Amino acid sequence: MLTALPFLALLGCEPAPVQEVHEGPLDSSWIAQIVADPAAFSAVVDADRSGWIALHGNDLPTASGGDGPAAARGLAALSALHITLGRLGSAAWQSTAATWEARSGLPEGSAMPWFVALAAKDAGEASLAGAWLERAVEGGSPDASAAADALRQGDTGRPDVRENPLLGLYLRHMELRDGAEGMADVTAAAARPVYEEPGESGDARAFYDPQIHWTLAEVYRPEPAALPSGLAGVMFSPCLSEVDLEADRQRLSEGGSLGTLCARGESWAALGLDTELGAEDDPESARAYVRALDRQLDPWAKALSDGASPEGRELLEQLGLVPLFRSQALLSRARLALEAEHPRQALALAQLALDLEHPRDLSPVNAPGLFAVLAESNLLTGHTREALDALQVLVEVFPEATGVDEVVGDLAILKVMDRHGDSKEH
Amino acid sequence: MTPAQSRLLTAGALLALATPAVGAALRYAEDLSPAIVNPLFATTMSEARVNELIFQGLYTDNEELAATPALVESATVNSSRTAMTLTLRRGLTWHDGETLDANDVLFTINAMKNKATLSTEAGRVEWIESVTKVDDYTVELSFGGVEARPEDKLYFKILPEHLFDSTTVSRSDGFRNRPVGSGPYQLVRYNDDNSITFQARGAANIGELTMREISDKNYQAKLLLYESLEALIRVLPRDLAVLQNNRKVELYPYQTNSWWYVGFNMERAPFDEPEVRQAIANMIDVESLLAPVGTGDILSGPFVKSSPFYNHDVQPYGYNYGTASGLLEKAGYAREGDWWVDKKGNPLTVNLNAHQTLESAQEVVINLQSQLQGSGVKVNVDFLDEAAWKSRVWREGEFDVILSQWSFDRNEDIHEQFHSKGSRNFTGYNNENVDELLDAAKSASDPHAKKTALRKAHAIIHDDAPMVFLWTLDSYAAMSTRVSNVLIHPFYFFTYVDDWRLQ
Repeated sequence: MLTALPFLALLGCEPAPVQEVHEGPLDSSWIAQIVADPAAFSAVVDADRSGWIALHGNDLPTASGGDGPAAARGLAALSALHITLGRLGSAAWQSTAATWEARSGLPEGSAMPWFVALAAKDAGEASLAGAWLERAVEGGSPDASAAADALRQGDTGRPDVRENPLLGLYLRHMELRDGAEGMADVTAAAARPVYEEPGESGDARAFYDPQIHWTLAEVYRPEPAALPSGLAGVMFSPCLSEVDLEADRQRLSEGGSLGTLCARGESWAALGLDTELGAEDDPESARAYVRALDRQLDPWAKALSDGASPEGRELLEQLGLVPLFRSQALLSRARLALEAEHPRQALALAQLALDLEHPRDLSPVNAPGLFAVLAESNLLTGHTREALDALQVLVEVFPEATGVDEVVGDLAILKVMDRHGDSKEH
Repeated sequence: MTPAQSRLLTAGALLALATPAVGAALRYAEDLSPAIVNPLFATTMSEARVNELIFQGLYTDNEELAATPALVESATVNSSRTAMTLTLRRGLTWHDGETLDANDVLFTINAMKNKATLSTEAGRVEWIESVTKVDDYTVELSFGGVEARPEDKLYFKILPEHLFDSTTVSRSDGFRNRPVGSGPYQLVRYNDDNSITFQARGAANIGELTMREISDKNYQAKLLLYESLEALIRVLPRDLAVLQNNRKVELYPYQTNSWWYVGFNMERAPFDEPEVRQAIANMIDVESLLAPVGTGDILSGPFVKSSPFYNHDVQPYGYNYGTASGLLEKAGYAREGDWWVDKKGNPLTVNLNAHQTLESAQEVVINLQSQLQGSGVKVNVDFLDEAAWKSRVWREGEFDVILSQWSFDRNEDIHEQFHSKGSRNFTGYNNENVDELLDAAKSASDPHAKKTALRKAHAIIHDDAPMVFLWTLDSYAAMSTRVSNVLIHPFYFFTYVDDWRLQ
């Protein structure tokens, strides 16, 4: 469910005198800029009101539907979201297969090795992908065996290849990543099983598209130069200032990750928060980091509000600019922790970023990416069932995440299949 | 203290309750003090949590929630996976100083299996055909079938054989008040204010824990903010935002698969008629009931929405008086004035019981009463204390309709609640198709098959309506920032308490 934001504060907003800002990263931030100069904010928003309302509310599908700066920002956020979901899905497919294999062996003649191979391939794990492809050739279903054999031999150009449902879908993904049209059809199809085979109980064993998120991440990914500049580039973002954004634009053009935009940099260094969270994956370091951030943000936000014009204060409070920034900054930092293979720290950061007034809803504070990071970090710390809680929120807005949800669900089931369940009252 | 008593507390009384921190003691709040401290008879979450402090199992969960040895030093499983030899760690002692050895393992398993014991946990050892002592520190378990990962089932708590006369253990055995375990904390005293004090044994960083029974969630939250508690086990959703904005408090989410329900006694008329149950389900505006509690997910069946077993094609019942009327008319009722009456002119009456300490139950029950009476069903309400609840609901089936809550671990195994032979099937629910599906789910080795079976069971149970499924709430513990290194087990809570620190 998306929280609608009326932008009441913007209605009838008159230009207010530009207030003097103090030196310092927070005082020169986009938040301070908006509060000091509501007219500048209105000028940006008026160009694409619905897009900015959607972006503020983390309604990324709507935000990305336009053609202005809000849409570019929305696409960037979507790309980062799908990178996390892609990584999560790949990890879940591999872990599910490995757990199933260790427990009872994979079902004979199943197409599962094919799906695991694709998940591994997209995650950049070539040797693992090769091994699963080999497995699919040898013991997969006839469809999986034929598809894997053709792919292994690079023999995908034959006219009959597309008749194989598994290989046909794979080839479609490759075309989409090369810029072909038709993403909407593949995205819609990903909400349903893309392949079924007879299962243990006589019912169908259903498989979902393991490649969808990697493809969406690629399709949505904007060129660094396409990200808007100025206030439109930084407001509602984890970048404190335009300087930080421009510095990171360079990092992005060198292949840096969109998800960790402005997670570190000059402003953070000036705040004393451009620190390593330690070589160990210690969640206490992450919690200490958040406390340090709050120690800076809390008094500054109060002083900003106290000194603001009525219009500026209304914007600050109605749009929840400080909590929004705090959450975006922690999300970016959590993704950095995931890149550093510190999932416990990522989990702590993401948990502390969440707005608990609406813990199951997307909102200005609760970005889709936050739930994706919660899901991934829970999965990587062994808390598979908890990952499903976060995914549930996403599936309601992004039906194409159904497949990830299902495969993580399979893993959650496998992990406790031999346990005796416990239940208690209250 | 009952909720009613709690509500009478003035601000002054609250201040009197508020006491400064003493030494390195962590004080945590429970809605309800454990009625019994004996793992053989644990039925509530507060009892499960205290058991986690005092006792140990052969295995436990590591931080990644995988089985790891606790009392066990080493184990081997035979090639056919039908037997397992367990060697216990040497040098383990009970809190009274006695040695923990193979006799204790034998005793515990045999006591749980002993039908005369009436252990609520008997199902946890059904798969063990026999247990034999090899030597003082070695036991051999023989299984009834092939077990892929037997260690996953060896989490039940081990009891001290030397404190019991036989494997027939009574619920009223004095052990319940003088429990002796081998876990990280020893129960040292029950205090006059109904609190319980535990002292650390072994490696735990926090020297002392105190469990305080405070049934009113408002007061729990206030006492935490006044620094008179260091931990709340579970915060109501409505309080989350306030606590989140207090920088002296940190919130820790943990996953419990728990849901509230209104349950019918299907062995009593008129609740043995599906139309009557379904009609009542259609008279309840669940969203309005939930409002005083906060936000949560409204459910259509016996799983939480994020569960892989939840059937998203099944919609929750909602208030629909027209549908309810049709169902009651089909069941032979007619609306006469304010009430629905049967053919003899007797008004349709619901005697509704709730546990007096179920969080926010009083508001929910009163609203439920108002809703049903507004639709023409008389409702008599009775809040039961722990003893009456156990007796009337668990043992005697002396109830019409109950409001309660079930919490499940990650298995989300509803077999005990909905199988006709389930040990927690208070409602007397009996549907052969559901029995078959639950059995199929239990024996499945393919997660797809398990999902399919349980999603089908969800749909049938919803239609049969042995319960009206209400909602699930997010579980957050609240801790003072003085408490660090906190990791919470999603079900047993205190599994990693050894590592917690208190400044």
